[in-house]
Amino acid sequence: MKNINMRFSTISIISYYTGYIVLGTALLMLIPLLTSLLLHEWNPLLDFLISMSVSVITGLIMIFLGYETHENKVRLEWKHGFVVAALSWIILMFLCSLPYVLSGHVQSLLDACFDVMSGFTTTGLVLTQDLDHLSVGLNMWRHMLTFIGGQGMVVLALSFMLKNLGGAYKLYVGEAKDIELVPNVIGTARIIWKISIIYMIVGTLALWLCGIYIGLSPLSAFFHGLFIFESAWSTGGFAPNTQNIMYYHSFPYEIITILFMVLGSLNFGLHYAVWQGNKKEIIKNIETQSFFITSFLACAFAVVKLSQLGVYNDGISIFRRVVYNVLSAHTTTGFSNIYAQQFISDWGDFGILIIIIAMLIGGSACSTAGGFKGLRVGIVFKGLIADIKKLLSSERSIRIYKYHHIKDYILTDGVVKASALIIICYVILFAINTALGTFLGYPFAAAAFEAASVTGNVCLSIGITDPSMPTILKVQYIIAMYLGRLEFIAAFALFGHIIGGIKKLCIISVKHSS
Amino acid sequence: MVLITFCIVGTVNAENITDINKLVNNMNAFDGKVVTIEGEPIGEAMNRGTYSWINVNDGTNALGIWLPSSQAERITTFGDYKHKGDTVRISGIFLKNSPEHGGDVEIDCSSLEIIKKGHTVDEELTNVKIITATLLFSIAFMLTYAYFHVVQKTKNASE
Repeated sequence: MKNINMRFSTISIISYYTGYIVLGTALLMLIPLLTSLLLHEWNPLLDFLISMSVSVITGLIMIFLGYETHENKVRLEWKHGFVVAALSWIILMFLCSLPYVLSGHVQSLLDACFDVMSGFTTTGLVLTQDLDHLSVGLNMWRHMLTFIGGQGMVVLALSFMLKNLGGAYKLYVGEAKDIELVPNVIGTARIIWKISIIYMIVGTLALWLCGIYIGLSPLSAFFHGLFIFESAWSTGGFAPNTQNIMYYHSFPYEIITILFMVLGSLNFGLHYAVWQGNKKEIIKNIETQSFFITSFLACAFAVVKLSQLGVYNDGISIFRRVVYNVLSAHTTTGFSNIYAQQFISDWGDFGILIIIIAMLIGGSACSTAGGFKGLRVGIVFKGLIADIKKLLSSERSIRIYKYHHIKDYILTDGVVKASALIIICYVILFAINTALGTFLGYPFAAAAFEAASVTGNVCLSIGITDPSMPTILKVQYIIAMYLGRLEFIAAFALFGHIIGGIKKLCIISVKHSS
Repeated sequence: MVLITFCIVGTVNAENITDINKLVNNMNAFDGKVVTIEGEPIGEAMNRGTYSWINVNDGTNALGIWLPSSQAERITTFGDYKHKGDTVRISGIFLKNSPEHGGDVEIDCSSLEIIKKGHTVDEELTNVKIITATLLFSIAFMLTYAYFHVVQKTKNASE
């Protein structure tokens, strides 16, 4: 009986907090709703009214179901934090897909869910059709999803809704964000949002002015600027038109997007340290060192190989088409100014390999970027160097190895092991996605390219992601984007919780029947 | 060259029209050749002085077109949520790596023909959608009211 009560209490806690996160996201639908109202887009207005109402109803029912949590002032445990974060993403995937379904721009609910998960995870792959005729309201929603997904829905809820929350840190970590900028986790969540909002104002303004300069009308330039900033900063890769960045035909516009996608891929801790006046952190931080070394090497190798192949003839073309796309892959943004087919026809196997590696490494931990992160690459590399040094030095000498990430840390075997484990998880997921792609008949290089893009939450596509792709691949890609973004742990906690619950229910029912 | 291009274009019929996706999938074969596409200009023209950029979507893919601004001004309607754009037939040289535009894939337009005028798209609101929205909004409103009532009650009880 005690067991059943405990299970009920656990479900109440999860329901209560998940309900708040759902409610918070539902209220965000007010922004595209008002956009549609101002621009006289009546169908999208009704779509958002329906979607928001359904989401508010769902959120409030979940809060009511778990209201005893509030009354009894129950504190969150680690398992709850992970499960709430993981479950919120799944429920929100369905609720946030409603405007897509109602717009008629997707073939099915699955395609809509794919695009929402792609937005939340800042992947940016698209199954929505006829982007060029999408309403501004729906475009606002698409880009908001990727912007919020980059910062984290839980982080958003912590910042503005859950003021008196005990155990908030467990929710925060559940969403794969584990940095403490200030001792209070709610304060940290607010700083993350402050940083993002300030960059949003600067970035939108820069892209707006550039948009007017390249010939867009002021209103259109504003929306393009806002959408492209949201995608660049959150390393998402969505764009309001079919051609992605190619639509603008502008070098200055591309330069601004490079700036914001690189900034977006850096750790929020690093941003905060620099804002606090600690500029040396940029050079000292293991993550920035790792990012700049790997991105320089990736760009250099790609430039040399594509120059050898004679694909591009001059420096500007090489920078715009090669360096841009490699940086876009490495920051896991996925903006592209070439056609997907050009990777196959022009880049060759080596070029594709470079992009795959860059996509898998990704940006920084506790940033908006995906991939297995520069921090882990740096730690594993330093761990390897330390092991080699230990082998070469005298057995009597004991040396302590350190790494710098905001502050100095001792490089223990446990830290190296934890980083290596996550990298292994990513590599296994990448292998599974590649294997499934090849099983379904896609060429190996194409399957591996798309698998790396999905696993690293990138967006670059070689042409596989398409509304006509097999359903099983769509489902697998949704799971891969989800696992990649939550860095496995929260999702594993949710699966473990579900399996544990089913197991206990089975045991209880067996006992009752015997 | 331009004169030759115009002569070729003058004889273009629907059979000579190439899908944009075909161009994109066979860039090497079409690179530097005179091609004709037909589609809907989308978004807006981006004026860059005497020349402008437009983007044309033919339903298979979209492609950038570099053309004199005077030609771009002939397009009356560009496609977006509220508009079905003109249908234009464009001929010009297809470039897979434009040296003038930093490696852009484009057509340097030599002739533009408006095949069909675009128009504003009328939005149709169905009764089912209006009733569903009203009903769901009412339920959400009542639940929100109930929520605030419960929160207030709990607050009063704890005080």
